[in-house]
Amino acid sequence: MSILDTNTLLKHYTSVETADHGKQFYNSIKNCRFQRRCTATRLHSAYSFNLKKSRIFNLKVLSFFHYFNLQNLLNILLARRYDTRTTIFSPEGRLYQVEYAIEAISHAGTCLGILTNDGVLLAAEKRNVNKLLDETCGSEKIYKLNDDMVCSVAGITADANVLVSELRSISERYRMQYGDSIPCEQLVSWLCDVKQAYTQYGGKRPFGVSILYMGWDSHYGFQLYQSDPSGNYCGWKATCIGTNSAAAIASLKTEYKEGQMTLDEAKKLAVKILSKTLDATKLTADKVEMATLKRESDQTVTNILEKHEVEKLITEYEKMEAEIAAAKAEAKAKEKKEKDAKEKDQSS
Amino acid sequence: METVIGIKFNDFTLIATDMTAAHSIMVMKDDEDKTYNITDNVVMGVTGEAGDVPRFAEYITQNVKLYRMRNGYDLSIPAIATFTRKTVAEHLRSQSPYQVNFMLGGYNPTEKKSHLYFIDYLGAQVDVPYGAHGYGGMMAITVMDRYYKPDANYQEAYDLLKKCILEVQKRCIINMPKFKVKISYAGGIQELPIISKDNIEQNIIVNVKD
Repeated sequence: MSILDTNTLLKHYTSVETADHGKQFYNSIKNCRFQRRCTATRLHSAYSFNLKKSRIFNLKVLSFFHYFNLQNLLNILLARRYDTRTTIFSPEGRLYQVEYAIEAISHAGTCLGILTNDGVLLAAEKRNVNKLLDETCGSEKIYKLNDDMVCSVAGITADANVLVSELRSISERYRMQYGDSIPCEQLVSWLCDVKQAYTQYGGKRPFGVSILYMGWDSHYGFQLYQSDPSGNYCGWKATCIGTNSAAAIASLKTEYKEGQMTLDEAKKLAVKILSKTLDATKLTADKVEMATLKRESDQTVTNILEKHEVEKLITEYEKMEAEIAAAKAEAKAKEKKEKDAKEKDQSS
Repeated sequence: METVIGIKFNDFTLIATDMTAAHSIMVMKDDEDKTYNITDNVVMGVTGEAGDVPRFAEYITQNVKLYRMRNGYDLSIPAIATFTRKTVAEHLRSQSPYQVNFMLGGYNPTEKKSHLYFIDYLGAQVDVPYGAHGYGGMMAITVMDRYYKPDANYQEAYDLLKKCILEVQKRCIINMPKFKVKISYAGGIQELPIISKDNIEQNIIVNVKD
């Protein structure tokens, strides 16, 4: 399949003089892909210009129309133009662009969230690790939205920045209107309306971002939400997005203690799960970002953990793992010893 | 020309409005209701331009209801106050400002707290223990300054209101013979006996269903 550019197309079209020519022209273009830009409009203007220019051209056009009319041509051009658009269902009834966007996120840095009785925790994998990077510019993936909410993002960072600023605007707009902090679900829901619109209205690509939100409001207390590029959202007790999220969710399922989790336990659990799911052989503090949200004397306190705090958690975890491994090795050695002794007894 | 009085106590809030509907120098009727129930426990007493009052009150009421339908819970009382203030302030800077002054109050049974707000047509909002709009307010405020105590019971509160209205009817040149009284308390909103020139000297027993 060859690609016809607009100028060649116009040249061919204006040289159509007889019915045979028209047939040839039609055959030559019917299997071609067209350069999209302006083709249809330029063809149309060439057609009306020629129409004005000479009466003879009318005959030419009429004969051409015998095989192929201009309207038909326009239709083909328009149809091709929308084939790859997000807003069109595939014949199987799927929206490929949206699915691709969701797929893109499963390659992004991992984010996980855990809801506990005394607070919420978000942890994110940092991909942009470079010792030359100036870290004074703040956190990479965890953003504060308002007094009561914090989110972490997975996906295209440029898109995420747009969404985060939209989230902050929505939240402040609500405060202007009602003088209160926005309830968590409303903020998530408003943003999801924006995300959904980008999967439906023409000429737009969906946002390649999934977001984990943690927050507190007076109606439902501590909350954890996740939203994806299609504009879907859900509340969770613990969840994960990004690379290896399925594995992380599976281990969260086994390790999450319903209604008994505390924030400290959640921190340890997050380190454990991240160290298992991240590709790197060893978890280091500069690859992990962690934030907590809790209530202290009727106020929401959010905190992005310092590097040394994360370091401490990781060393604690490693120590515990080492102890378990040592205990296992010891038990094995003991077993072997007993076995050997037994064998000795039998042989003697 | 009209009067609306609001008083906040520890366990309930009272809103009273005069019942006169005036046009130019003429009284059209004396049983007009200028109180509006915004939710199950928030009540608003509104005075102002005759057409604006019901239109504004309905706009607020329906928007608060819409919020409830969308989210499954009510706006808090301070949030309703901010929303009404914002609405007034926005319209003030448009071609069609609302000419309304109101006292908005209510009792929140979950946090066991009563609220009262004074809001005027310019969008000024003040959180007050007691307040009033209109000429009658000038007399009412002085009485409340002297006799208000936040821990009064229903009867004492109603009697204080009567004292205010007695002064209004005595000193104000404008004729305001009847006042409608509403209470917002733990059991919701209830209407109390109308205070009028005929019964103001008598002892009215207040019955509030618990």
